[in-house]
Amino acid sequence: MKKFRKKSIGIALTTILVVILAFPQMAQAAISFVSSTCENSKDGNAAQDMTLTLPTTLENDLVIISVAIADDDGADLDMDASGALSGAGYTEVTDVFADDGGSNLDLGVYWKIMGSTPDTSVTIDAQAGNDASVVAVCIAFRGVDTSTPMDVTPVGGARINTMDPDPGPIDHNNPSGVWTVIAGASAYTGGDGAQTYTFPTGYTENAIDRDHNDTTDGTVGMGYRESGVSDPEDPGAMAHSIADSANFASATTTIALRPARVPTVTTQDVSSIGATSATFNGTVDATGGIGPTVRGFAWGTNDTMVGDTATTTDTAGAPFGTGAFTESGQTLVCNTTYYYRPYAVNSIGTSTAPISNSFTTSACTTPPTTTTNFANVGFNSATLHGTKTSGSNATEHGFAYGTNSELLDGDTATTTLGSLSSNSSFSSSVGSLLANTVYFFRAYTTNGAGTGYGIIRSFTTSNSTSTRKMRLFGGFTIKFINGKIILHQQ
Amino acid sequence: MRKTPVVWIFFFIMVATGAIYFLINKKQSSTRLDTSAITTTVSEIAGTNHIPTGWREYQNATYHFSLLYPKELSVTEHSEGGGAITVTFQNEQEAKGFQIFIVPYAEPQISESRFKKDVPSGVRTDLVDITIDTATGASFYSTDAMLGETKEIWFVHDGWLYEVTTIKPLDLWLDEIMKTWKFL
Repeated sequence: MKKFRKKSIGIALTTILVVILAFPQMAQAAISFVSSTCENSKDGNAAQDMTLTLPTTLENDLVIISVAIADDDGADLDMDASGALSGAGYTEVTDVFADDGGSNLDLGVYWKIMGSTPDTSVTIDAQAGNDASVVAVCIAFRGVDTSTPMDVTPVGGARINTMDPDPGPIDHNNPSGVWTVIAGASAYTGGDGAQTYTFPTGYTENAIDRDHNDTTDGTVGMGYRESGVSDPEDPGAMAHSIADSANFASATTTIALRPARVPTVTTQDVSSIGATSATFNGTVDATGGIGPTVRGFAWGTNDTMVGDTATTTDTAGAPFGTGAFTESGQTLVCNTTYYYRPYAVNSIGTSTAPISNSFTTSACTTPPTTTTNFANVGFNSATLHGTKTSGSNATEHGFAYGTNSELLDGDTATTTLGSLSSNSSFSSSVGSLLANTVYFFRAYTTNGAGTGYGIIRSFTTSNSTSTRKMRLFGGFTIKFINGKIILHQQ
Repeated sequence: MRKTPVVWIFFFIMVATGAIYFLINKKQSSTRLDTSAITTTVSEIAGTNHIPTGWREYQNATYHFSLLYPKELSVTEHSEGGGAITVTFQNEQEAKGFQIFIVPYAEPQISESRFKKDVPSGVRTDLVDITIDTATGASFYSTDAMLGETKEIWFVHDGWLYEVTTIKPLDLWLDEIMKTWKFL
């Protein structure tokens, strides 16, 4: 019973180990905050172009930049990405203009998925003349769906006669793991000194804001909410650190970020079945928003994919998009039933498809041939050696051994080492042999076309020459006094 | 008069409880030795239902056996070469102990030559056939130059000869231990 329990535990642990080794660990889809930066124009009276240093990011990170230009000329500036930013590949989220007749505000918000060489900075075109303030902030996120980072249209809005931006509600269809991002900017005339925003409840303390003071002053800020996001999410107003007496305006944008997911993979039936080969077929139906960097197949002879599972790994050409993929390079054993399942891995985790229908490789065409080599012999054990020399792959191989010179009678035992897919040497260790006894053995390999036996060889186990040494109470002398045993150290 | 059986039952329970407590306490009182010298093949499975309080289990997968022994004994394994081993279980302060010598052995019966090889004195008295787990063997008294009069239990199993030895006054003590012998 104890042995059975240990064996069961062993099998369970092995199963867990195989699963862990066969595939990288599954991971929850999750967006994470990377870092943030900010900048303002340095000239105190005339807005100038400025360089915004970006957070340090990795490939597939999402960067969101908010640029605000506060002015007093009433001009609605073109804040499209190509006009406002020097960096290539940025997409405009919103271009919001607010003008109260005295102070006017242009807010542009942009995003970009970083490539293999992430941007380190962008140059912001001030586009304005005198009495303007230019301010910008950037936040980077990781784990966002790179193909559709914002699967609902962001919401922008303008307000006058208030310095407190009030990001509008956004209906994001409540996907699991959604984050919301708010950008707000203010233009005003009475704000000497650094100003900040107090963000709505639920929006992170890591939010960043920035102000600039000129004749017309500007403040811009961005924040995000990572949990407790309602649907629709109405963030609430951002509170500016000062109130103005006249001439103020604000603009906002609300964004919902779509989290990346593990890929979606499906299994198709095997094709091109041969005696030792077959083509495995799978499809990446969806990348999950981040292209898989590894894909392949786990395969074996167990219908639960436990025990003898091998894995192919395909990384050439990664990251992979959606579509079918195959694997036919693996060497199989003839006349053997197999199973497989595809998998794909992106930075979010691993997805495994259902186990395929079984298929059986074609019949073995040539019986294997085998040679019996030699034995390493001990007192009660021996290691037997043999070689498969030719023929189709073996479905089983091992040794027969015993004390009968023709290996015929009941004391003949057989070792089974499983399938053998190459012409190669193999060995078995056998125990519980009698000392000083002649044993006979031969190697065998077998497949559906026949069995190949090596010649019968013999070996003789050693005869132990050991004799008993009395170790009990060594170093002591024994005396019996009044019926008691007394030991004295010598 | 009706209360008499109840009184007797209560009295019996008290006496039985006291006796059990005395026996357990007597065994536990001999726990004095540091057993850190026990080799890594010794497994203590205290707390299981299989091992009585005050005992430990020794298992040897190479030589295919296990037994229970009083926990105050230290266990030491001595490789003797030629596939043989001696395992001693002893407590010098209590003057209790025994050793097991195991050697590869092809024959089903213990030969006279093997006996004389390991017992140069040739003394063998009170020979009795015994059964140890599934093996049949022999129990006898002998003499040893170091130990004096000895109690010997010899048996053959699955290609091994097992020779268990203690000093003669520990004859019955060893018999109790040998009742726990199991072949693995």
